[in-house]
Amino acid sequence: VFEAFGALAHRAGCTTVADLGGTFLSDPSVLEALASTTARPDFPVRLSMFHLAAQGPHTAEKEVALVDGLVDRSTEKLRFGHVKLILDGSVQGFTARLQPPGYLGDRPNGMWVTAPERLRETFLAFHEAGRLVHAHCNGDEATELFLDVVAHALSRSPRWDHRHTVTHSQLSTPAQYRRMAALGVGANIFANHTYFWGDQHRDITVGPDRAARMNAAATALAAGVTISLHSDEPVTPIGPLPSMANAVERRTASGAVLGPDEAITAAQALEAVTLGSARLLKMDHEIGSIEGGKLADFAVLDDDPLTVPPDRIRHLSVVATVLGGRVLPNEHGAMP
Amino acid sequence: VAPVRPNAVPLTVLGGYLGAGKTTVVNSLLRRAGGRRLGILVNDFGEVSVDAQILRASSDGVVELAGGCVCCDLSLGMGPALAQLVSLDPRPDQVLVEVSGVGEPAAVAAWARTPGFRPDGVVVVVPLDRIRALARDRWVADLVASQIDQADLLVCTRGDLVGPAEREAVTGWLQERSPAPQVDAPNGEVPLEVIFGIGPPRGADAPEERADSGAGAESGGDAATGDGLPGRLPPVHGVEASSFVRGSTWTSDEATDVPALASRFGALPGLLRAKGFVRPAAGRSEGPAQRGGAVLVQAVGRRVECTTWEPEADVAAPAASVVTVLTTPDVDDAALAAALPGWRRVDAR
Repeated sequence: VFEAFGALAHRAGCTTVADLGGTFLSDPSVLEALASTTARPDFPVRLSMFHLAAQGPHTAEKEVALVDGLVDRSTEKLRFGHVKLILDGSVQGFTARLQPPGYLGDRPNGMWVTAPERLRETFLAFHEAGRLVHAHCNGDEATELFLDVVAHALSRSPRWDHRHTVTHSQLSTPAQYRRMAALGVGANIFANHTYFWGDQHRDITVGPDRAARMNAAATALAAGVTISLHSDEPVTPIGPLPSMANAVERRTASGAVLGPDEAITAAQALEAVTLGSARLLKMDHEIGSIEGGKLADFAVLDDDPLTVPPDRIRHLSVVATVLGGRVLPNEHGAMP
Repeated sequence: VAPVRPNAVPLTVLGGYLGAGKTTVVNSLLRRAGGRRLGILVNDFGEVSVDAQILRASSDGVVELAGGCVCCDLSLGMGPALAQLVSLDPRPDQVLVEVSGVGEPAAVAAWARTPGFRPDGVVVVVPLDRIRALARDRWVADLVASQIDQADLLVCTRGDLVGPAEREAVTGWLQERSPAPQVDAPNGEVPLEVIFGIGPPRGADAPEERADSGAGAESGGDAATGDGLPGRLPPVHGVEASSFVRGSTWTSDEATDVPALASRFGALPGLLRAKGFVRPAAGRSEGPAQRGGAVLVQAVGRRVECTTWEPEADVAAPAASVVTVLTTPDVDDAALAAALPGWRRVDAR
């Protein structure tokens, strides 16, 4: 499984991939498979394996100990130590938690996947243990709760440069982005949603006004929030280039442009999927840019994403990637 | 009135917000199951006190406990878990699904329509010391309100943590919010019949097993079976003596208007459980009355279900209707007599 996933990520031009769904990190056979697969010289990506917390029977204390134990197993290509929490469901499933006015058509609000009390307790435990937490928040009420939880934890246990991150952040409001900036929280924005479900969000789930400000990358950057863009593979196909294109173009599957004010430039989008991601994974001292002293991880493309027309970005070919200086050609990519 | 599904396993859903005491209720039931084969579905075994009593753990997440109960986790979802339970031999007498604290019990209750099961109520656990704060909570007020709305029956826990005045205020507030009856469960000890229903374990005809089901077994059960119910029907049973519930058995020689009885039961405050066989009044269409059958009436709180029972060739139809009811202690005979006009109480007082 990991081998196939590595090959898929490589073809898409990734050099580091974060897996934020791991409830299985307590399984020794999974850890063994991860260690042996990533140790092969030809395994083409680095993996950052998040521990998905507060889903099973374990107490927060036990989970903190589990993650502490994992950190010692980290290698150059296999990283442990970060933590994922899930607050709510999805907007298209009507299960994301929304602030008023909620969903169109008087639908009931979505659901909490983790009870707020348990969230608070688990977050505080990992925060105090010095861990980085990414929190799944699709709805703006989920973002609001998470920011309250972060603010509470910070007032109890101040920490600098924690980089806790709102993941998906689909409906986060301008006020919430200002609050994220004040709290030092990042946003990993689900730009691909604009393309795959933008029409449905405009017409069915939340209506045109809020659909236009979904995945508000421009507002986030203007507020000073560090952002990255993601695919949530297998929810949408993995690929930094299409994710960049979706944040730049904000086109839906039907071709409409949704919320052009939230479009960002190609340069901003490129930074989001490289250095932005690296910062939110606490790896920006090693990867995310091509600099002397870093690990030499990058992708070789058939054209320049900063100068091609925006509608070409998603069609650029990955000729090869370079991982730690080692060239990994992509046999599926076209030569220029 | 739907046809009875023979051998369908009753499925009860246990909901309530995080910290309400659901797991305490489950653990208490496991301790007191007394030979009843309870099948419990939980999100995880974490807090269920099964560790010491595991007899056998199968590879597919089913844990067999001393005393015949089984426990199954929901890691693969409701469908596979129910399939596992229904394939057990013998099958559980009763299935209890513990819903996650942030789950909607009604969504889980829909699974009781799975072949092999029948719906047996949504029980929602309400912590008396916290429920009003939860119902105002910024994040979960709507969830807690919908959990209460979905309840057929409310189990009140943590009553020892509030004073008498506060208790009265909270239970009154609950009553305004929900027509579901409230039953006290100090230390999570729900009266057994509230979860298991009235009657012996399924298929257990042996007298010694019947005696297990409670102190009142002789009074209700034998009087009822002696009152004309054919032997192949499950005998109507007495109920466990408790200061939190009150049981009685009623009979009538007259044919009964079943829909009217069902709606009076549905509107009877404090009705926790009812079970009995009723000889229906002849309807306009072809019904069980014309074929000499009876209607099995079963209630869990405000949820009343009527199923037809067709006599088999070698079994006589019941001559009289018999119903055992379990109520909160404040429901007196006068209130029951009003719900059962023309019926008379037959069990010993």
